Amino acid sequence: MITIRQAEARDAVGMQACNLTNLPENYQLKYYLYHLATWPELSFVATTNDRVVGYVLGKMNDDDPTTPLDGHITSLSVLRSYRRLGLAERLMTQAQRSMAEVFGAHCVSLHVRVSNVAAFSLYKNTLKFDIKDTEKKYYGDGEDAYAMKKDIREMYLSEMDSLDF
Amino acid sequence: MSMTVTELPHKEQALFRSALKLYEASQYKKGLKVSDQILKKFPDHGETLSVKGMFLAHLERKEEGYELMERGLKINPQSSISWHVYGLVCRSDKKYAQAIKCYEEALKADSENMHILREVASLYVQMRQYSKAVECREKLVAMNPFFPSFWLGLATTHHMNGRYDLAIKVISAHESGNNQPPLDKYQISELSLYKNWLIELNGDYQQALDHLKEIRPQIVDITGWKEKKARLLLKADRKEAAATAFQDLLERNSENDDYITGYMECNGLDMKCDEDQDAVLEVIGTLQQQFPSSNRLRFLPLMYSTGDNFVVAAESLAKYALRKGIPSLFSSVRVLYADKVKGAALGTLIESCATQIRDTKRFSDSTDDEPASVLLWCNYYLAQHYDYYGDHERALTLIEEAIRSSPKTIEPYMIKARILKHAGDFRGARDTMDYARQQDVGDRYLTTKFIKYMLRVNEVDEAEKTYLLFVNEDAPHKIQEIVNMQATWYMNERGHAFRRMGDIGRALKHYHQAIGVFDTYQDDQYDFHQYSVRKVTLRSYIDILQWETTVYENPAYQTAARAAAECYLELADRKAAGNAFVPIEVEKDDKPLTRNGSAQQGQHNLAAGVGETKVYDVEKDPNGTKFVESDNLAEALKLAEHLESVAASNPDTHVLAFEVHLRMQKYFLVLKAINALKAIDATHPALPSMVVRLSQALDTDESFAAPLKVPLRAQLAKAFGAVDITTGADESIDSVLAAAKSMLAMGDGDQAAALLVQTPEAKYVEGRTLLKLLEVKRLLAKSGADESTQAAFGAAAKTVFPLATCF
Repeated sequence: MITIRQAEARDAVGMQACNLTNLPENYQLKYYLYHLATWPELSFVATTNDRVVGYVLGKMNDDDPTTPLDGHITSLSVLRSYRRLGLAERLMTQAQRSMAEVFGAHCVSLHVRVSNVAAFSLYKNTLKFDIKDTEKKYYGDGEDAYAMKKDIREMYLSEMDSLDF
Repeated sequence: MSMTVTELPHKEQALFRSALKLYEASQYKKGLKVSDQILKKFPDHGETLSVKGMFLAHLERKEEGYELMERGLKINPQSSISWHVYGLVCRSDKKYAQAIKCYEEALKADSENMHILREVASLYVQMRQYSKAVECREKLVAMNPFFPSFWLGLATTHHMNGRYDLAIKVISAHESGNNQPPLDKYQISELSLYKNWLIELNGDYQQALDHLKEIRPQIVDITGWKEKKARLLLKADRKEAAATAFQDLLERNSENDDYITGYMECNGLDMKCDEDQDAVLEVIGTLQQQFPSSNRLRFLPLMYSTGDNFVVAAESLAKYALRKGIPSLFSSVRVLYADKVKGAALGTLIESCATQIRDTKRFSDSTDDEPASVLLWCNYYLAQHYDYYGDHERALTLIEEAIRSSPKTIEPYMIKARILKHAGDFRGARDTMDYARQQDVGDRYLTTKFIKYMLRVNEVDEAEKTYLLFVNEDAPHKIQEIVNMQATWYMNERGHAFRRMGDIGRALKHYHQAIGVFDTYQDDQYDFHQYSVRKVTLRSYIDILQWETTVYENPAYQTAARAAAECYLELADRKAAGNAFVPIEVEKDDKPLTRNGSAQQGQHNLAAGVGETKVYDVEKDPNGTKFVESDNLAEALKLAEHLESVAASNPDTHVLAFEVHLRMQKYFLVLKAINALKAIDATHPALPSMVVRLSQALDTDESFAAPLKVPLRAQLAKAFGAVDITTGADESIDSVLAAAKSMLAMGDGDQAAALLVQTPEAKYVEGRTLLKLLEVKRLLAKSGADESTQAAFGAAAKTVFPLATCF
């Protein structure tokens, strides 16, 4: 039975394994740890029996200090055997809310292969991202990417917690 | 000469300073030139020799570099700079213990050097020497109380040293100081939550709650703050307030098990207690109404209900999942099959669903027809159900029905492949998986599974070719890239394949690749000692440290280390028997290594304009000769000792340690391994034969001092009494395997064979698996049993696993 929670250091190896199984864009473990050490609130995992079956690896784009911070999805993947549970959508929702709340992000952006119909549909139809641009030969194998973006300001829940406890 | 830098003329002093700056800027070639300029005039200047050595070490001239640094130290053994430089190089070569020694020497001559103190503090943390790290960091804080990295670093070190109180003190004393650089909003939030965690760890929940209220205005990690609130309220036994807090969290994430369990605890419910069952289910029901989209809440009732309640809950979940076509339904409920009643009930339920659909196209309680796919998913589930119980024929029939009803759906092929694998038809599994992945060649998941199944039939070259399809096109050397991307599952599977094929050299090469990955994992933490402290993400930092301490507990590491050790033992045994293994030369005519899979490695590099052909690590020693020609027992020992230190709770660790220490005639350590295994599991099947073999070794080893044998024999007798190697071998296949292995080790092949051939009999059905019977087959061959005996065993095994092609 699956649980979804914020990613911790002990999940990094599992996230890497999930990524290696599913995607051609891979990273060394240290890159996962770097995300967890820099933006710990922006990565989430779906696990069953401590095995990572899905993850989202998020970060903030701090390249240009003059523009408001944008959130960015470095990587998102769910094992094929755990599809149809809405895990990707749930992982993305958690990450987006954190980007807005914790870091004040106005937008979140990501790249998706133009041929990846399923992922594109998730972002466009379910999560309401828009295509901002097409980046030619973005991927290592030469495939183009859609650069997609979504305004997430309304995800910031500005209610103040009651301190009456 | 022993002149220090400050005693050199001004010109050379300036050159020396610029050399150090060049090092910091990683300009090693220029730095080397500058060092040589100084050495022209002062060829024996110790400190310059050290610095030159450092540059050489970074320019792939390590040996020369170390030589020079040592010369520099001989000339001027009190030079802080020379020791510092040596320490730096050791550290970048990951020789942390040695680096520490150098830094400690450097400190002797220059005890208040900030750089040295900072660097050695990180090293102490890396090596888990927290008290020493505390000492250094206290000095640093005293030197500059307004530099956040210093006092934050000190706080975390107190934390890891178990002194939460001191950590809190440090933070309280400095958080409101005139910090330079000042902490930003995010960092203040992180620090506040970290401090709150320390207060919680220090045991004062009420204080933590008060502090939590205090800090709320400056918190940005709101989820984190709410989690703390809920947890602390529960710990402080404020159940009602905690329940509200957990509900608040569930609004954010209704799939989080900690939130659900926490909420249950607040209601005074013990989810595992049968008496509370109705109340638990009622609460889950209420939550489900609040959070109807939660997958976890949908599954949860099945965990905590029994009897009729269970059937009702299961039916509700099943219909939902079957209609939606959720492939993971069986995987999700599989954990429940440990309860035989529940497993059977699930099977009956889905069978009933299938019958209803087949007969009437709808469930008995619905008014509309169900989509045709529901029957597909019923069969898909039932195939896995029967596979679980080992009824592979029935499982296959069902999955083939599923495939026929929807030939374009890929998931059923994957299950079919898995069933064939379980049934012992590895080639059939591979072929089925090949078909599946060809339906969607862009899906790496399918290709990954296919690669694994290819390796299971030892198709190592084809597997590699297929793997390369998904390796980054930009990688300069694709095979090296596979290793760089740390695919340990692949390294281990390749290792196993080579081992099955008898190529111990290559097997070792791959196991060592996997081991190397974990060494890298452990090393990865080093930069975070400074980075995380600078970023003030302290909760995350402590989490990284705590995980890194356990990094070698990962099953992939244990598999690789144990398999490698076993290979080394096999090499040693064969050498001792006069049948030494010879590394296998393999002709490889095409090397699809580089871009487009066409260019030869050498050509590619020349095309890149570089004069030298770079030899990548993966290309070196293709046959694994270096591993084969090593001191086999010493290598096995290294691995066994490491496993003893990192994986002591795993029985297999001690079984391995036993084998290594026995061959090395370290009988006290052999006994230690036996006792360690007994402490974990007094009924472990390997224990009787371990005791017998130790006794036998003591009897026959004339080189071992007789007086020492006395206490060993006494302890064995006391702990185990009279032991028969065949204890338990009457009914447990694990005992047969353990006994047979030991009989073979003692040279009694006939007795081993006599035991092994019985394993297909009915009395061994409990715990008998395909893999264990394959192990029996392997041992039977090793025992020297004749062809007809082996063939008879194969035939008998096939009656147990009728679809198997591996016997």
